[in-house]
Amino acid sequence: MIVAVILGLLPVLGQTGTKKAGNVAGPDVIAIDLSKEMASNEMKPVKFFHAKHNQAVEGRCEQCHVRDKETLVFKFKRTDQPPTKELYHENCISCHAEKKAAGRESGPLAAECRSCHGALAEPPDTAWTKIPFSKSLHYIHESSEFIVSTAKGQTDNCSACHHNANEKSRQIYYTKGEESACVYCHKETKTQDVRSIRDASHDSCVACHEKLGSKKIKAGPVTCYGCHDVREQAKIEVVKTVPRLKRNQPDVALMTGLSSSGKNPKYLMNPVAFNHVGHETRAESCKVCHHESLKKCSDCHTPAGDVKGDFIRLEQAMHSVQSGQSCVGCHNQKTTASDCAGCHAMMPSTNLLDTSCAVCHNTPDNQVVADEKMKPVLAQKMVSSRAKTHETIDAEKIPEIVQISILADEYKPSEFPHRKVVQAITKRIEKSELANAFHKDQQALCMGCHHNSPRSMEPPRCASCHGKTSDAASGRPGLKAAYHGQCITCHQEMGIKEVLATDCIKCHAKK
Amino acid sequence: MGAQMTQPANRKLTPFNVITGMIIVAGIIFTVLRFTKGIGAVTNLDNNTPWGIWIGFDLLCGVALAAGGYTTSAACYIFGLKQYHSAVRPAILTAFLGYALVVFALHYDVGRPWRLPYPIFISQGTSSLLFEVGLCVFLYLTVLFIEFTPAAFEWLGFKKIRSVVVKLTLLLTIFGVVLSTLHQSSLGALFMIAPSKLHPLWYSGYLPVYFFISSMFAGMSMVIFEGTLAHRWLHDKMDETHLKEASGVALGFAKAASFIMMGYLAIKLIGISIDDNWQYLVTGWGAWFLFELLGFVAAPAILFAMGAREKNLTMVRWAAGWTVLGIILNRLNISIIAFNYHLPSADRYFPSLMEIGTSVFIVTIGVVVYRFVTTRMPILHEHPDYKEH
Amino acid sequence: MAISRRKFLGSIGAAAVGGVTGALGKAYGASNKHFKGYPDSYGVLHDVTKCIGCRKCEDACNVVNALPKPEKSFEDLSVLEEKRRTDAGVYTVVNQFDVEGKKVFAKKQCNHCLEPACASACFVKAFTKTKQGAVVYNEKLCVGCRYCMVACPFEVPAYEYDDALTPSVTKCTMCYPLILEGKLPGCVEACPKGALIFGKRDDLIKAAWQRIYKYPDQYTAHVYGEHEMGGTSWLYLSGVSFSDVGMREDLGIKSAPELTAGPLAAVPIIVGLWPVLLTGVYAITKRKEKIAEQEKESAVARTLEQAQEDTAQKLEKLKAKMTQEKTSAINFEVKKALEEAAKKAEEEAGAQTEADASEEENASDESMKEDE
Repeated sequence: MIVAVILGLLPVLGQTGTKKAGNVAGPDVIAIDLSKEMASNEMKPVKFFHAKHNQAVEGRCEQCHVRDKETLVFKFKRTDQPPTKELYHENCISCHAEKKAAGRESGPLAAECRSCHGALAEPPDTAWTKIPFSKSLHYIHESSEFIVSTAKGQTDNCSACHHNANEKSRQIYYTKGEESACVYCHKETKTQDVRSIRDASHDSCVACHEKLGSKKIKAGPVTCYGCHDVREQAKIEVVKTVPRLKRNQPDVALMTGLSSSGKNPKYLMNPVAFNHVGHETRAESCKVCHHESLKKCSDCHTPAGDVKGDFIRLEQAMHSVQSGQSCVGCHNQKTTASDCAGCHAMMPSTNLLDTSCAVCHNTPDNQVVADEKMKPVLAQKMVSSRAKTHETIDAEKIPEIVQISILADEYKPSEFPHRKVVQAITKRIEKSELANAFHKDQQALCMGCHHNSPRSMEPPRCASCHGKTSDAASGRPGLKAAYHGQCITCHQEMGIKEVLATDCIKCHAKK
Repeated sequence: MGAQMTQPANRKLTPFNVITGMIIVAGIIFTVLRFTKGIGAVTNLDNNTPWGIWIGFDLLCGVALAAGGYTTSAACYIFGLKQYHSAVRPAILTAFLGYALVVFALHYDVGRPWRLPYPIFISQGTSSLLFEVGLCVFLYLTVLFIEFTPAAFEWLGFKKIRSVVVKLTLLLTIFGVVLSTLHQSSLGALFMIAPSKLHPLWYSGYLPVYFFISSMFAGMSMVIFEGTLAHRWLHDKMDETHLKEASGVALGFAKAASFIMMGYLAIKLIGISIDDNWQYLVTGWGAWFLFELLGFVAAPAILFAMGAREKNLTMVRWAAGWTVLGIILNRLNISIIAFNYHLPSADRYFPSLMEIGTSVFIVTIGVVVYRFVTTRMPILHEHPDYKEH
Repeated sequence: MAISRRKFLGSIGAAAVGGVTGALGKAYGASNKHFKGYPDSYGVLHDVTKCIGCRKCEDACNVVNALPKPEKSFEDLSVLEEKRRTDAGVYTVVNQFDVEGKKVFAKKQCNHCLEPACASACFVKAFTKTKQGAVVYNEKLCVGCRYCMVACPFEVPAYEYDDALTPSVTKCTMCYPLILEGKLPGCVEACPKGALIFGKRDDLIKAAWQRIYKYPDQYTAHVYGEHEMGGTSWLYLSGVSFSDVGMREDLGIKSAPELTAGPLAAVPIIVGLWPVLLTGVYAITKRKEKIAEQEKESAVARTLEQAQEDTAQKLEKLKAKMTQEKTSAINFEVKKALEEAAKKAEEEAGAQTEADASEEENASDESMKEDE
């Protein structure tokens, strides 16, 4: 029985072998997994706590990383040789043993296999957040005097980071005007020819930061969490107005789609006069829209679909509501901002009103433009002619107080400050060009609340469609639920903290 | 004069009587509290844990340990093993008292005990396994009562009716085994309705089979165990046959129990593998499960086997007691300990002192009645008038 | 180990049947019966994204069912800081959850399952699944065994532990009397946000999925209660995962009655088979005993016969021996007597001769005399 008890307790006791992670809860856990390199691998991947080791070596990266011509190689004790079990065991354990002999806190030693190769290993959990290389960050690098061009005869330092690659000769080279985003070639996983984005960015960015830092120049972070921790990311300086990137990009573009054939060819849809420069300032970086390359969308996303575009047709690439890269999708995402969500949260995102089409497809002339050079001219004409201002309604025409008494029972009728609310909403969005483009005028805002009915200065009563009880078949709320749903949801979505959802008497006094 | 006065008083105030007397008085107090202030005043039951030790111990353990009745009478009358004959009456008495006490304990636990006949006579909830348990326990209690009556009739001298009842023995025994199979397994099946509340190592589609098989060796162990106690305390009430056969009964049951327990271990392992629950064995709950299985089933099984082979009665008796503890542990695990395992510890249940006191009170009543019956009726010996039983 | 063959066979038979019924139980449990609910039965759709935690539903429930007033009024929202469950006299509670920094509220009450565990577990049929969908409790039958509380996977029924003589199980009734009159359940009527919608269950499921399609970013693509535990009448929509709002997602789709259908099915089989098996064992035992008895008797008889034969033989031998002995003894005596007689005769003859001689002399004298 004693044997049974001991046998039974072993699994419980065995778990005390793994030491808990340090109190650095952050993106510093790296999985050392040699299952690809090793034929037979019984042990689980090692959860390597990088920050802990940073501390242990007191920031001296060379303890583990080799320098190759002044630049640190972010592999463990090698440049590009494949990793082996012996490499890790010998180097890691010997250092641990040294520390132990010196009487200091050390990591696991030779016989403590599962202390590194976690007894009950889970995938390394990490609060790792991708660092968005925004225009602001790019500008900081672009404008830095310490980053110098590697190519001859260049005034700007683009070549310090940007390069092209010749697949055949496996050489990299720089061509001015062909700079693009790293992720266009360096993907999540490495391929035979191309390093993964992780390795590429660490080798380029962190190594450079380290080099500059060692020369006592203020540079970017060298630690994991310095870039990949949300709190640290928030500390990075944001340049508000970044000068436009010079990459020979057009100011405007005419998106035309398919055209008919014959003598008088016509575009089969109203072309879109696309304000490219206007959108450049809105997006975090070019990659938001140009997600695979800086080419035109229609180069890969053909109307019928092509393997280059992953068989996503042009129509989907432009209009997909769920995607962050399509026009409609991005516009849709913008409506989740608190300035917009008060009305838009309650609008089904799948509703594409046919009146919205004309906002983008605004070129009335379908005549095919034969001369390519004329297209931007036409587009520019359309873009410039767009109204920039927002027509407002005469304030007197907006009812000031609306008394909602239809449901007054336990509570007195609600004295709704209608005009104040309309003006407050207007004020929040009047600077948004996107909003103004779609709303056209202030009267469109009425339809945020006065919905599912035509534009009118005298919209129908809510009770016209909302019955006493919520309708099970359609899910349409009853009148009480409709009022409260509309008002309270708007307050919640727009972050109006002064009006608590549960503060009933704020809106209607008790009887 | 004084010495004469204390003489009779001393005779009644034996340590046994004093202690049981105190327990009974306490029990009466708890009873009054329960029926004036409600179950909540006496127990630690709450909405998350509706069943505590009154069900877990009094009902589940009581029924499992009273299984000696059907195993012994089956061995003697169905399998024709005449050497168990002297053990039948004590086993039947224990079983009868056990089941009677289970019903008695139910009167405390159930909210409206006067409605206990409802499921049988007024509204039958036949979709419920508890109905199954209730019906079978009701019928089996009747069977046990009838099986017990010959001893009482012999004591009272009702010769004719006694001979009538004795003729029913085989029928009652068969009926008893059928009913026992049904209710022992149904008690296990009760928990099949709550897979989300019972830890996967204890929850299985085989719960009814586990309960039934374990009731067999529970009963046998209990017969050995209470036989040991009876030998110690009621030796003078035993006749020659009884004394002669006693060791044979113990060794025979030891062999049988050991064999069945090994089979039980096998089906438990099969149960784990069928549901692919091996990963739970290396957790804390797994250690507890192995502790129960290896420490309280495998170990006593080995001890039983050794004792039976070497004809070592002491070993057999220890193994019996150990097995009884194991059964109690198993039933408590399923009903209280591994039940609601998913709840935070603040919401878990532990019985209150009064709850425990009530259970002790009920067991004490059983012991007292057992002593009363065995010291007066021909249980441990044969009535001289009815040698030709 | 000396276990008799009959015992072994008997126990194997019992085990085999036990295993078969166990397997049968599993097969039965996997039957393709699927109760989709009474047609046109009602349900309630609870949209968790709309709940603001105002507790008006709890208040209305308390009023409609004439429940005892709680210590803290329903307007006291500080109770939301702790998670609560249903209790005796508290048919429903609203709980607050913090999910990724946002406050989410969800109402909890009896889900009025299509195949309720409580109704299946109750051994006096104190619970009824009505055609309208509500699961109602009959306190006139309840014995207070609390098996329903064990069975309910949602941990809903509560018990009046402080009532000594008339304790009842308490839970939401879906305001059954009200819905029979065509009115709304109290909570549904009271909810200001339309987080509760009452209607036909089939309609509500459609409406729920429509909502998910219309607002895919706002809802998790799952209607809780559509299939859980065989389906419930109370359906839920949520913007976060359901486990984040205190709802178990590991309950599976098997209804409670399906879980116990196996063991229940085994009962009549045991009732039918066991008596046959046991009587069989008894009969075999008795037969063996009889045969053993007969064999014993015939063995005894044979032995007796043999013994008698042996005795007879021995007797014969003895007789012969004795006769022989007697004969030889007689012969010996005769011989001895003859010898003695012969010897005696010789002696007598010798003496006779002398006597004869003397006698002859005498005799002749005598005779001469006589002749005269």
